[in-house]
Amino acid sequence: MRSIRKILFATKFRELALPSLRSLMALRGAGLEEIILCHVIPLEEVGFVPFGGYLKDREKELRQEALMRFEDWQASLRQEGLSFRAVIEVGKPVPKILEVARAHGADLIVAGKKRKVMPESFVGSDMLHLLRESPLPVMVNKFMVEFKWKGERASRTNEAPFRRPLLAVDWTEASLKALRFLKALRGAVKEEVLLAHVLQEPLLRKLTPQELKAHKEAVGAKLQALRQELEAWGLKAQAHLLVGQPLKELLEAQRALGASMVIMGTTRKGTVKELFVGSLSHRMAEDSELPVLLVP
Amino acid sequence: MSLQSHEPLGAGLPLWSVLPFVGMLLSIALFPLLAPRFWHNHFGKVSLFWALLLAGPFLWAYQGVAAHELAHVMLTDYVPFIILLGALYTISGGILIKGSLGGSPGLNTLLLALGTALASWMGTTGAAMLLIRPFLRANAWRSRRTFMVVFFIFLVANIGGSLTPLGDPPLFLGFLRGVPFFWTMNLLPHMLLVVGVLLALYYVLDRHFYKKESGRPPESAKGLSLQGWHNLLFLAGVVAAVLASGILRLPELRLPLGVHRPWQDVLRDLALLALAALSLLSTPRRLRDENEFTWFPIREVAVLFFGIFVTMTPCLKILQAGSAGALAPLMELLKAPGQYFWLTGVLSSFLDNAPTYLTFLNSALGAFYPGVQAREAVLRLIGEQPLYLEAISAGAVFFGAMTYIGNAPNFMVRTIAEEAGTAMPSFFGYMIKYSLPVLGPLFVLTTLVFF
Repeated sequence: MRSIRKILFATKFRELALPSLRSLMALRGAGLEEIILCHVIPLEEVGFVPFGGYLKDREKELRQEALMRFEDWQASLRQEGLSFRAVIEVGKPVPKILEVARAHGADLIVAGKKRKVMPESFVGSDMLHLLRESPLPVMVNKFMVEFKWKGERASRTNEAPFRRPLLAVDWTEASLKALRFLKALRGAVKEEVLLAHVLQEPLLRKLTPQELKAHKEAVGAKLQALRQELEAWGLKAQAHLLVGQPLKELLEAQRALGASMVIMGTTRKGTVKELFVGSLSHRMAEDSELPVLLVP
Repeated sequence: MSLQSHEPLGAGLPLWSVLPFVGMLLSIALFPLLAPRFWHNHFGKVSLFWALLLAGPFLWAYQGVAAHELAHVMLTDYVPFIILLGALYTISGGILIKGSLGGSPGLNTLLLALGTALASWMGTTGAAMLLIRPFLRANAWRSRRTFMVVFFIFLVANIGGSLTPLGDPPLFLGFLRGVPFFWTMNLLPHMLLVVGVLLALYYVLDRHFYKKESGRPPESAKGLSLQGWHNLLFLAGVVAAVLASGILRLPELRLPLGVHRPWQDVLRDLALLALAALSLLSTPRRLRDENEFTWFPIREVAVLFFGIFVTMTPCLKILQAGSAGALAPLMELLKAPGQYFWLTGVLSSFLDNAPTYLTFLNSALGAFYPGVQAREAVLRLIGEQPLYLEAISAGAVFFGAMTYIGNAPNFMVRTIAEEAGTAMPSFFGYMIKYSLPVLGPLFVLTTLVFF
């Protein structure tokens, strides 16, 4: 896995977008050199005037506004020693973001959570679309969030997402890709990596006590092997074997273990397939109060 | 409640009750030119304003009868209309043509002919959206492209849609009023004349400019590939569903406020919704993204036509009342089919052609068969005076090409062409340089030959 030299930061200039960008500076330790600041003006804002064509002046204004904001950001981040490139496009947000990421050779796409502060989900339809379609790793950054935990309202600021990432593994090709990506993040991880695997309850019920014990030992050994592999890469790691319903267990584990973000593999299921079989990685992005990085 | 029992309503409605309809149509014509930003942000509110301005006093004055009329126009005209346009838009948005051709006069003429032929079966909007990008890509190396896009608007975005009720919204409204599906094929000679002349003229122009080109097509321009082709099957399903609803005779479904809808119409609408849903589910999102498919244009149609359908109710009732209605003087002026062709056409150039078509269809029905139930009157008009319906239909469809605001896809094509770097004329430039000198004489010829 090559280092993460270039990231694309997609923004709609929502509140706290700049602090959210600042929280990514730890990636310099992983080789970050350039940030592509990308803003897509939705086509609906300037085009499709009923029987009226295209608002060229409005597009010019919106481009100018975006450019001024990006210049302001670049000025305030100058001391970080990174290079910045501002890209402002008009079109459908997700395809444009993917097009810009491809054209500029980005290694990672970072986008923010949706605006609502107490949502049912931290992921809007555009973000879900991006997660489904992106051939590149996508990080759903959640700088400041409010959420419900055990019936209580809580809030959290994710200022240092790469400090203590939790990697959910199940030894599928997707999760092994996530593992490789985590290795590329090595220089950005300040504390340690939390490795987690969930043994699913319905499967375990079919096993005899002896089989269960043997299965747990085998999975535990595989987890330890992964831990050692990460340590050989210079990453401190803890391994955790969880039992239960995967989404619930991972959400509880990330809180109990003090994780700073979640990293998972994802299989890029289409909308229809996801409707029937669901997607654990997308549900994590929707439900977790932590930044979630999905590796396709 | 039958339409016939409402005859006194049309005869008793004052002329000023058509003012919200006029206001609605003028809003569509003028706001995009005079205050485009305001219109972009508030067109929904403007549509609602005119609808409420009509519905409030209308319901207060005529109570149950007005409620029936409004419910009738919504359930029997508006809902099926939006469902058909939505289905065609959704399905054609799932078909993607990739790659590029060389942009020679012959290939361009063929592409225009193909688009013209497709427009009657997938709607002018669907055919225009499907082909405009490949057409522009094929000619990206050419230095003069403006005339190509203008002819594309003439043929694919307008005149090509004249053969079936799927082609252009006014023809579908005619179908809902009882015009048989294949009757519209009677416009084939009119269409062939206009399309033939336009394609020949285009070929001559394109050949002339092609010879002056110093460059040649890029090596990469080798051919086209079609993705999402299975959506063509769904389009065939749309044709079958609409056709079946015109043939089947099933019992009526009774809805609130005395509205009746034949089961074949309800089943058609459900089938169209199912076909659109199947297209959405079965087409990879990537194809729609590459087509830059968004829901905004169809949402815009739904919002604007809500206002149009509500506000045009009194106008249609007055026209149906014929000489007993407040618009009797206008109907006195309309005598010959040629007059219907030109008046429907000129108004369709600046106002939306769907309500304009209905207005003049009702004028003809009111003039020949005052007080006769609408569906029966339409069939009698077709049997006894078909030239009038041909004139109204051709006028509504053909003249949509006269201005950018004549038909919804015109501006979409212009926007896409400008995005792709093709300079397009202004509103008046389009009329003065292209539509008036090219289409004007052609429509005079059409009048001389057919009307």
